[in-house]
Amino acid sequence: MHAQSRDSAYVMSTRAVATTVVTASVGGTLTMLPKPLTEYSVPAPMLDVRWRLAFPFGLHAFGRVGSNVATSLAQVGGYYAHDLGPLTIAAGYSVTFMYGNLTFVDGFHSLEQRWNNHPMVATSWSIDDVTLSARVEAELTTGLDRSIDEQQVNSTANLFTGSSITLTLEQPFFGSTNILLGVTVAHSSNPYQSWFLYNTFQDRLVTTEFILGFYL
Amino acid sequence: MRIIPIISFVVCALIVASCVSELSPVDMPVIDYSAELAGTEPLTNGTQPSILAGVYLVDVGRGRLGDTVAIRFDGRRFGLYAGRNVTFVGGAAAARGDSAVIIGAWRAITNQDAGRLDLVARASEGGRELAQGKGNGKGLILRGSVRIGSRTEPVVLRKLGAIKARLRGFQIIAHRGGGRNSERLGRSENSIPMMMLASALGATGIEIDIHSTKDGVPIVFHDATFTARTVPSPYMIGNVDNYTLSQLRIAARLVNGEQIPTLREALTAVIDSTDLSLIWLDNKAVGVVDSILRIQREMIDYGARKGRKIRILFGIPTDDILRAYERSPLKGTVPLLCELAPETALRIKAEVWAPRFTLGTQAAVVRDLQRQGCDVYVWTLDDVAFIRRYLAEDTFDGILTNYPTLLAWGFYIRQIES
Repeated sequence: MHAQSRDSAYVMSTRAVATTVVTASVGGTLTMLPKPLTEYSVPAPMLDVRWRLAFPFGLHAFGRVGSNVATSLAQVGGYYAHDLGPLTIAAGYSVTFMYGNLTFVDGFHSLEQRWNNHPMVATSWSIDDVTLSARVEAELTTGLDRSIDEQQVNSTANLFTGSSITLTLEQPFFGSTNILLGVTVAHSSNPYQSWFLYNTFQDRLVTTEFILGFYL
Repeated sequence: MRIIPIISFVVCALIVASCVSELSPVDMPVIDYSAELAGTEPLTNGTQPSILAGVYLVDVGRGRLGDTVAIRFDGRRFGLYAGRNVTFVGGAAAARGDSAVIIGAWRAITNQDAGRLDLVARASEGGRELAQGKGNGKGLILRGSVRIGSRTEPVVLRKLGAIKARLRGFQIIAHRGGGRNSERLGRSENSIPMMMLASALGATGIEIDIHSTKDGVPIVFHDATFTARTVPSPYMIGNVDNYTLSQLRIAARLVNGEQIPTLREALTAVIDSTDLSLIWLDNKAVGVVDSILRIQREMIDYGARKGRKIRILFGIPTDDILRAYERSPLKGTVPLLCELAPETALRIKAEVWAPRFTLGTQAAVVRDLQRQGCDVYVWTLDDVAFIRRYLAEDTFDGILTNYPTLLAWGFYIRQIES
């Protein structure tokens, strides 16, 4: 039943793909910035490239690069996956470097560099050539350097800043092109796309991010 | 292409995505002070207000309030400020026989708890001295409870010391009339209800933003354009100055339902109905500078006639506003606050220089201007670490913030810490 998806080149799926083949999706994300910081719904789009490389023995490397000029990030990580029939379970770890650079209309120039670490567990379920995946990640901020103009605002590293769950659907779309659809719901005191806004009391905020990608 | 999985997933994703953090206002209890304080005597005689005001140790209730709280009292309005959960209480106090009673509405900003505080100063615990206006209140004990929903928790406060006289001239200035729309106070930024709440939040002054209508009426509004952040109406789009005042009155409501006030309405309300001692007019409309100056002058005179000690400052945030001010026939008739270079502030004889915080604490420059008779207010401090750092510098005459409660607590308890 899952033989077809085993051969499919999906990125968010944890199911093993052919070794030494890099799979990548190109698309975008749309994050709804948290209202308690922005005061109303503000969508933040971002170009988004995701990739995955499988090695023998269920080992995988994966990563992501995204940017909307004001906010850029690069993520790289790895996981071990184990197939149980149509179901696959996986556990891994990734590291994200985020860079923010924004000049406000009133002249404030804000900069931020942040290192986030993400322990994760994931699962995928395949039916024919359709794969549904869920990934749960913790967010550990191990480095944070934020400034406005010449003022160092924050270099605090609140180690555990939140967690997220990402649900994705991967399947054939048109011809030989596959599609990635997903949504991430994050519960974090440090929503990465809102880095330039004060979260004075470090409230844990729920934000969502929609993911759309097409496979190269 | 399989369309059903895609449609199913999109529907599920939209449902999941609806669980985002919202911005719902938190209701505070409405207290009928005239009914609840019936039969009491005001605490307005002699030293009574300063006996009650001060910094208190929290003997019981630290989970709600932290170790210390600051209490402000002017004889009529009672305010309590706590660092834990950034809590404020706005209410009233009065003498009942040989004791004193305090009631107020309680709100914690960080956890959004709201409720009611009831305290008593018993005769044997300093209440008699308070009711009689004797002593300095040291050791005064306030006992009572906080009621939040169905829970009632005991509170006991013991006075540690008075607020130092030199600290009283410091201005705790609330941004946009009290705070932004994001504080879940149920009152919109730059609205008259928000200005009425500013003192309870801990502010001694407010900053309000001035734009203009199409027919040249100065109004209190922050943004140059309408968005859902300020006026959530699909019919209100584009520039604020595309609309006349009568159009705004018909179609525009702020996020919590209030009308956009005119400058004259806002100043009248603050003079008549608050104890605030400072209004900073952040002027954003070059075309109505003359009107603003005229209204400001009239309101300064109105306040003086009513015996109000209130400083109304014409803000000069940009070169455009400065040029419009210098061209005005009303130049030199009102006190100024200048956000431009310190040399400009001195040249135009501004009463206040207001640098932004990103320029640093600039202690030498600040002291130089103060020596030349110019007060210095810094804007806008919202980060806890920055508030602490700038308070520790002890150079500024005022700080503009979106969190006047946090600033008030930090400012008043410094005397204990030091």
